[in-house]
Amino acid sequence: MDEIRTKILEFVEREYKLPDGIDLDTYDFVENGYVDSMGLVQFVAILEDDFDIEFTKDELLSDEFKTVGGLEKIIREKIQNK
Amino acid sequence: MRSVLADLFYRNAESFPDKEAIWCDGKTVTYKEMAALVSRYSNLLISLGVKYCDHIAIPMNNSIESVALFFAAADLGVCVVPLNPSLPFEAIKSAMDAGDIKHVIARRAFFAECEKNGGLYIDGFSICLDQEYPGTVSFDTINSMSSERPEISYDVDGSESLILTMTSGSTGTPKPIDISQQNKYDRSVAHVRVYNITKDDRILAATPLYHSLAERLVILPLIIGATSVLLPRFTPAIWLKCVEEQKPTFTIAVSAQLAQILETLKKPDAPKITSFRCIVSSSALLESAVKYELIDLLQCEFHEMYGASEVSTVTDICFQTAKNKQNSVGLPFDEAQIRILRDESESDFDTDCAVGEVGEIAVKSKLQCKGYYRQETMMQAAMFEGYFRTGDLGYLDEDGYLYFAGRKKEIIITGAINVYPHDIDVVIGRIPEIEECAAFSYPDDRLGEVVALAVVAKEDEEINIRSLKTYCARNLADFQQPHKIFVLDKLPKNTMGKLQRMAILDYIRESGIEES
Repeated sequence: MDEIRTKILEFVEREYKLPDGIDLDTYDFVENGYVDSMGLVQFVAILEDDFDIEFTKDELLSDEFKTVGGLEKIIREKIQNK
Repeated sequence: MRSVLADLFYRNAESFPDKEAIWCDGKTVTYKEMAALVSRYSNLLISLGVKYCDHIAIPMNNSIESVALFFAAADLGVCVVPLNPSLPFEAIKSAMDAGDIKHVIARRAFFAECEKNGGLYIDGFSICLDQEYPGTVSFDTINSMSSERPEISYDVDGSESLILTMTSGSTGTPKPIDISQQNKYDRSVAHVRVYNITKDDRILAATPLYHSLAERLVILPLIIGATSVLLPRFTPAIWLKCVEEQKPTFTIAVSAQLAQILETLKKPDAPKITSFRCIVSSSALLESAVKYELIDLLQCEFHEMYGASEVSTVTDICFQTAKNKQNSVGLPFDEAQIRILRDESESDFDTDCAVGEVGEIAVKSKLQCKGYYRQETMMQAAMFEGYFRTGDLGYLDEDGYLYFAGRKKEIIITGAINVYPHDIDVVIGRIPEIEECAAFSYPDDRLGEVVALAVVAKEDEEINIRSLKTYCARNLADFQQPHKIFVLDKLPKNTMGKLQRMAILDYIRESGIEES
């Protein structure tokens, strides 16, 4: 599996494994309680450090940020545009 | 003699085999099935060599298997040490040491993380809950175990530690709150009496199982033959969906959750919730406006309780019946007595406050824990003439009602989690560029409070905020993460040079310092 997706899943599934058969592009891991507001602060800092990027406020508030597929896309684009 | 908690559970399994014992995350298990799971778990532990009074650590999530472990542990007279899975490795290690851990049950990711950091020295067995991991036994082995309750050759008399709940203290060393089987039983009996809980109740637990509140809310129903509804994870939407479908009748919720639930309940498309007969708010004082709106929307008995993990619930109030005591947290449970202690420095011998005078709330209770495991001196330090000093401030009125008036202890309560700022100071203080730092409480609409951090740079040094955030992310647990960081030129201190943590927020506001 791609490194970006692996890193995202590692954090999202830290306490609970995501359900089988879900669509990772649309399943909202925040709305479904896999990462809460306290975890998000930590998650953002770890991703920014691991991939040497910085998220904008808009990105953090976007729906894309809350799905594995969407977040992966944001990170990939940011790495490409560096 | 066998465990009373386990005996009561197995008796219920015999009396109501097909009754729903527990629901969690879309899965329902009957009493008969739960008894088989508990027995299999016990037989698995025995087959791996668990001994009477051994301690088993588990980074615990909310699952039916976690609840089964509590009852297997009770039946065998062993102790479960639930850990917050988000703890960084260093904190896991000190919790393991403080909890005298012999065995570990965890997910694969936990073992991998430990190995990456140099490993944990475990004397006993390790069970991997998901997949396989070198050096561990797969949890799937449980399926080959007998579903019969095992025979044991020793007595389990109730004095055995059942759960060590990890908290941290002013030294940064974890303080394991030692709850015996008898404690758990007595606490359950007291709550059953006060809230008129019966076997017909469906009892919702919506906080993590590594907190004493959820532990109480899953053990209690299974020993009285009621049904446990265990929320896997909390968001207001998941809570509402669960309540709509599972129709719980009783819950003890934390106030930060209730405030979020109210927001969701007020939305136009929100479902109407009618199943509750009684809801109790706990953990921190609920705002009056939130309280009255919830009473109006939920149409059930609405209580608030006051307590601490060391002494369980101390007081309770029902707002519909105690109409002229709306700002109180209620009268003491029959098991508890309260004293309000005046600051020692102001009094030579009469340390009790007068009616209406604010002092520290101290509690003597039959529900008090065994102590802090292997830290007797810390427990002694918290006691005064047989009363446990809660670190909270309050007063009693002429009718004996308790009123909460703030906290003496420097503690941050975010969500329902107690965060000890000193633990954060110690970790952040290791950064070479930092002269001094202090974590403090910052008000937050959603969580009640969040962790904020004030830092002072060493002379000629600059603090890189991004590096600081990364350092926090990697070295602190999720609940310890600073949500706001302020760079100051000094921290507020008194004339003796002692940090005035409670004054930091005012200092920042008065000085007009912006968040970094």
